[in-house]
Amino acid sequence: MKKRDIPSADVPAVRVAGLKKKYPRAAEYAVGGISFEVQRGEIVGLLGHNGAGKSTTLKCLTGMLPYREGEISIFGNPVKGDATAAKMCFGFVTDDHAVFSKMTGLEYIAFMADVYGVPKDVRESRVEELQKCFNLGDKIDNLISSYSHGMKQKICMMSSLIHDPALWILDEPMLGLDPTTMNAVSEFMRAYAEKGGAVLFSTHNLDAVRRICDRAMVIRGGLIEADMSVKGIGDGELPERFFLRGGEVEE
Amino acid sequence: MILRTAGILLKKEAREFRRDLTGSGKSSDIPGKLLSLALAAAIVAFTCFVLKRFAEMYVDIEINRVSAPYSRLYELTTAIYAVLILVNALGGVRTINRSIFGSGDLRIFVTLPVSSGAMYLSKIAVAYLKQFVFGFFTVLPVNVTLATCLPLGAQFYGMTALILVLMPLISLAVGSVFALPVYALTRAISSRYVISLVVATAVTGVAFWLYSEVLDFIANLISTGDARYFFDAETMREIARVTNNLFPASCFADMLLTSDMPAGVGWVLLLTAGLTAAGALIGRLMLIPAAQDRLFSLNSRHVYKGHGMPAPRSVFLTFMKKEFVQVLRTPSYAFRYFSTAIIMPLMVYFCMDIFSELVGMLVLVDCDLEIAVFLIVMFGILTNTYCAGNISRDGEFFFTMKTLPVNYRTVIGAKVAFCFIGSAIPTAVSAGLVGGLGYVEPWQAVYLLFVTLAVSAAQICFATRRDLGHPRFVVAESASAEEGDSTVSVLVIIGLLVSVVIGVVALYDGIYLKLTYGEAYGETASVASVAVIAVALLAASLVYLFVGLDKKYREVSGGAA
Repeated sequence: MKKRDIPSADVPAVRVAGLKKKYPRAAEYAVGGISFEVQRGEIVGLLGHNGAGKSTTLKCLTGMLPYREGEISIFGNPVKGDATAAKMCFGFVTDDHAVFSKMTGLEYIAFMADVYGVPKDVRESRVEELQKCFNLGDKIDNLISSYSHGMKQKICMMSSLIHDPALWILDEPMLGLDPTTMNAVSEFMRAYAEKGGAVLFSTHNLDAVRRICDRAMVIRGGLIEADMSVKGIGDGELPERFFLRGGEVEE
Repeated sequence: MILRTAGILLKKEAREFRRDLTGSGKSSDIPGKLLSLALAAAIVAFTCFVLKRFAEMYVDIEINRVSAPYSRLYELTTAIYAVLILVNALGGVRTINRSIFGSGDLRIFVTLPVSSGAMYLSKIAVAYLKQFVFGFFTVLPVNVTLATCLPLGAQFYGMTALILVLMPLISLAVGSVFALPVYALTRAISSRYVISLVVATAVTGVAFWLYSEVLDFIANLISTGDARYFFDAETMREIARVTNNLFPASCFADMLLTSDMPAGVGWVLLLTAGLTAAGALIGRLMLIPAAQDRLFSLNSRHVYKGHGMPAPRSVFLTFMKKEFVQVLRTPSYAFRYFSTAIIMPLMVYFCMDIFSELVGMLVLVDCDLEIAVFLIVMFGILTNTYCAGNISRDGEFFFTMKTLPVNYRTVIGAKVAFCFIGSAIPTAVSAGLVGGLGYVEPWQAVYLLFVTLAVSAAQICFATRRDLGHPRFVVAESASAEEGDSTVSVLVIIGLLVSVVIGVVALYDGIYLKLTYGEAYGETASVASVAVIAVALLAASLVYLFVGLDKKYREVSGGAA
């Protein structure tokens, strides 16, 4: 496996400081100056309405989008400039299942394993392990272009985990998943965090946040409006506090 | 109700057709349209030129010393119309297939209260306009050329106008009848990537070979005067017998040239009506449901069992393999990458044969090296258009790659290297062929290889950088996804200019300087000047590609916010 530069435990998995992002020709900032940290062993949900800035934040974090203002580091490795060291530390699942659809599922996982330098014996046992959770079965030998929405989501998740990353970033991971897989993913996230991995995901699914997350950040208009612990929170508390405005259900 | 719905759909189709034609859409490719128009005009002009020379020779043929120019013209017209009907029918099948099976908006219409009859009617109306344009570029120039051989009256011109109106109907009707079996066949073949590649390459190669042979045959007949011996009395009687019975092409000749015009018109109208009825019935009952079926089913073989987890590779090789898989599993890319590369040496060989003889006869100087430089550079550029979509081809996956721990040099380098392999092999084969056949010396073949590879590499670097600057990411997951950008046209236009400059410089040095200052001086000047141009192009394109590449790569953004 390629070398991963993960420093001592006091360095957070994710550190974002004063991140601002404005799209070309846009009048307003999509992300207007946010700061937060994600610690190891923590599952953090990024909640927000459509266009709130969740995906933009995650895309800046993963190097997909360039940004000029603010700092982002993954396990102390900067994302600005050559972010290869930072990128070795995480696996990312995009919201649009942007995979290479001309490959079969297994070929795609092998592609990702090659990119992350995962040795042959490790990748085989890892695929077996991931198959138990995501259960693609024989479909793993099919072309990805023939996959359903949920199957594409599964292959994205499997390939993002092939190198056993220390940080798992997911953009709207629960969309399109059947209840069984959603439950399996939730359990996988918990087990992953208990082993010391950090998880950061964006979602609209309040139930998923309540069940899985240790912490939730609510983002609105490109700014973090709330950053709270979810542990011990009562049923229905999050929606009432942050998604109901003036008696209207916005979510 | 059907007509009202069809009218609404037709308005939409007409708006899209107008936007496509005028280039007012965002994705319009003006250079591409101009290039296509210029190429079509050149092909039509060349074909008409050859046809005119042949027709003039043919109408003068005497049988037993008796001249019958109008009978000869009738035979020629019948033969030409047989070809025209075939060409237009093939065009009709293609247009129907594209209009119905390639239509994305059917996905929306099937959920709306729109009947298959209305959908077919709206699609066929626009298809008619397209076929009319196609007929305008095929039927009209041929008729005008025939009219220059012998004096022809108002009947000829009036019937030409009628044929222009009827030919698209006939071609679309034939297209509707055959669209489904052709679609089923292409779909069956396209799911076998290697087989479809072999078939496409073989068909293109054979078509090119046939075209060259026919041209060569006609040129020989005209230039050597062999026509008199070839078209002897017995052959001419056989030709007359065949053309008289060549239905329905003979009906068109009757319409245009003989007093049997009413019978000819009657037969053609009957044929048009019958075929149109059959086409409409098949189109309405079968084509639209088949297209719906295609929309929601898999388009290709999609299971690759038994391979297991592949052995680990280096990151660079992994990215090269990704490019290879993309080419192999997308028929249109496979054709552009492999087939054109296989055909390129053939094209060089045929043209080298013709040009070498022609220039040798004209200037009495051996310019084979200069001709080879020009031909290999030109065909290399024309066949190497695959690199134009180097970035766009990845679609949204390009952004996923940006999240991977891979240097931009690896991503771009793998693309450039993969294209270069596809370009280098046919270039090397072409240079080897020219050397092996004795047109140039062995050292000259090596020089040819060096020069043409430098130009190819320059083209790939330029195209990749331009595509990075103006990416139009492929969104479709169809097996024949294509880039909608003008990069291909710009690349071909610039490439043609470069090849013309290199060709002119090489031939100027090769002819003028050899004649003025002697063989050795001319050859040295030719070799040196072309080498300097090639190296300069390569250096400039490398600078263009690599300066600021890191920044440009990072700044390419897309996807939803």
